[in-house]
Amino acid sequence: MRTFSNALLYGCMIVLAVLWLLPIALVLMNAAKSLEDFTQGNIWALPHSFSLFANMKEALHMGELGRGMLNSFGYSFLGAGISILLAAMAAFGVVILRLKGGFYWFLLIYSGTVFPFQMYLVPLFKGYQQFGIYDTFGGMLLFYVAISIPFCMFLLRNYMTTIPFEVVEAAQMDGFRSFGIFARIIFPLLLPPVSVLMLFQFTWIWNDLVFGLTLSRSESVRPVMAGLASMQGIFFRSGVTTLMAGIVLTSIPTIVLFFSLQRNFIKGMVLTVKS
Amino acid sequence: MNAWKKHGAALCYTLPAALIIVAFFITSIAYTLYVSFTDYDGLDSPHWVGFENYARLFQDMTYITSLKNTLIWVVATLVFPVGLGLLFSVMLQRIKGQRLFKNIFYLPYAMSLTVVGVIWVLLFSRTGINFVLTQVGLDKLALDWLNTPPYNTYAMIVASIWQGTGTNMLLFLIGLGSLPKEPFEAAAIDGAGRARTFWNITLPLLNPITIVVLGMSLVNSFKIFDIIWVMTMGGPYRSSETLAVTMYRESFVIFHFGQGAAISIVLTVISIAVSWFYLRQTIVKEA
Repeated sequence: MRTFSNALLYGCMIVLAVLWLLPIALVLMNAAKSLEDFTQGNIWALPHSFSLFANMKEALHMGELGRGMLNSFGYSFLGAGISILLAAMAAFGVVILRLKGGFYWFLLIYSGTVFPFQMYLVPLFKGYQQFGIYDTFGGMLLFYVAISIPFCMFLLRNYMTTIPFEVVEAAQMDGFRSFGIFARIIFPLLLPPVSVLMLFQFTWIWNDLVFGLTLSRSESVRPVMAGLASMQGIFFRSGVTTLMAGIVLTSIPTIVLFFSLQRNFIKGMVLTVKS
Repeated sequence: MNAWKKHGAALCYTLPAALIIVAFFITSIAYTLYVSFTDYDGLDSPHWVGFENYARLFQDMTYITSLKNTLIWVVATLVFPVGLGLLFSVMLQRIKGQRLFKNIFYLPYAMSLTVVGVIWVLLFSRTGINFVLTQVGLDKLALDWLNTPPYNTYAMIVASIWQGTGTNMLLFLIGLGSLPKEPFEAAAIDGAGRARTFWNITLPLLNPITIVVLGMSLVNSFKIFDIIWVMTMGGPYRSSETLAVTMYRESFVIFHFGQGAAISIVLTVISIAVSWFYLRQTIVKEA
């Protein structure tokens, strides 16, 4: 009886796992086919050719995905890095230097995540045009920095309150000025939440679609997901194999990050859930 | 003097982040609120129209459909990805090779919603699921999924279930792993079956994590945009729009900035009210 129910459980899990993997298998299969191979068969047929790399190359060039990926690497790395630094400084001022009314400053900065993003689209679009930063790399980067700050602030502030104050006092005794304390004492202690934030913000920025659509237009500025979305419209009829190769390419960075640093993700989730 | 100096130093650290937030988001909220009461179209200067934009939301069929779809998305997101996440985690808990299965279900979450949308457009196309259905003689079930309301909304919900179940499962697994052992041992001694143990012990103990998962899903479900934009763009004939998509279309496709702003205000009010109500309920329950 027991073994029977166990076998049933395994059976269910295996069926579900196959169902879950099927879409990904289809993407890989069709990304590997040559166009000729694809048009002769259907999307469910196994590939008789292997042109994954040729398809990827085509996606990078014809679909202009290469430029989008390059842009997004810049936005994701720089955006996550700068926003973490700014948020760490802000949290340092509030928690360690005990800024007067610090909690209200925290609330002010954190309020950026309370509202749905739709609230920001039109004003930012208009403002960006007014200040001449619409459709520029700097403008996009500035936005990604701004949108990442509230969550970074939230996690870093919570983490900083767990640092014993004696650490700071000891540093003051040793004659450290406030910047020395920040750079040499506190920031190194922040490594666990910073690595989590780096992951979270990198993926958030990499995956963003709506702000990329709204604040940029040209290929040279467009982030990768906005590029992929417009590529879909063009390639769906004539170049499914290229489109699928594009999907593989644009998913590799986040999939690698997720699985190589899975432990950090789980830690980050626990951290977020706890607070 | 010294106190002021100290305060000034602290301000120097906090001010840059605060200024960015004010410049980008606080002013944006004020601007959106103002525009929502005007007929601004991006060209002529805006005229004050009072609550006209808001009133239209509850008269025009397009917006009512959008509201309805948003509601469907919210309910479906609360039921399926959360329910399946719980089911998967409970099943996985008693299985060898948990890691492998866990990674498989989690894999779609490592991809962006845009990518997920593109994949499922292919699956819901003529050559996708429909090809299989015709092959096995179920031609009647082979609908033009993404072009037939209300099935287009259901089809997109399937895509989002595929993507979102993994995280919920992971959170539930963390929750299940941290439960105390004693109540389960006691239940086993009393001879309680699996189902009863689950209902009477596992679920109540899991409550704190369930609240978090439900809360997160709720907040996210109101803002669903990427999947819809990629899969149907809200079409055909605006039949599969949600409030977030309607807002985008009004603002950036037909340049009714005033109308778009009013929708984002309504979206904000609804999502804050619901989260607040939900938080209050759960806090009262916990206390």
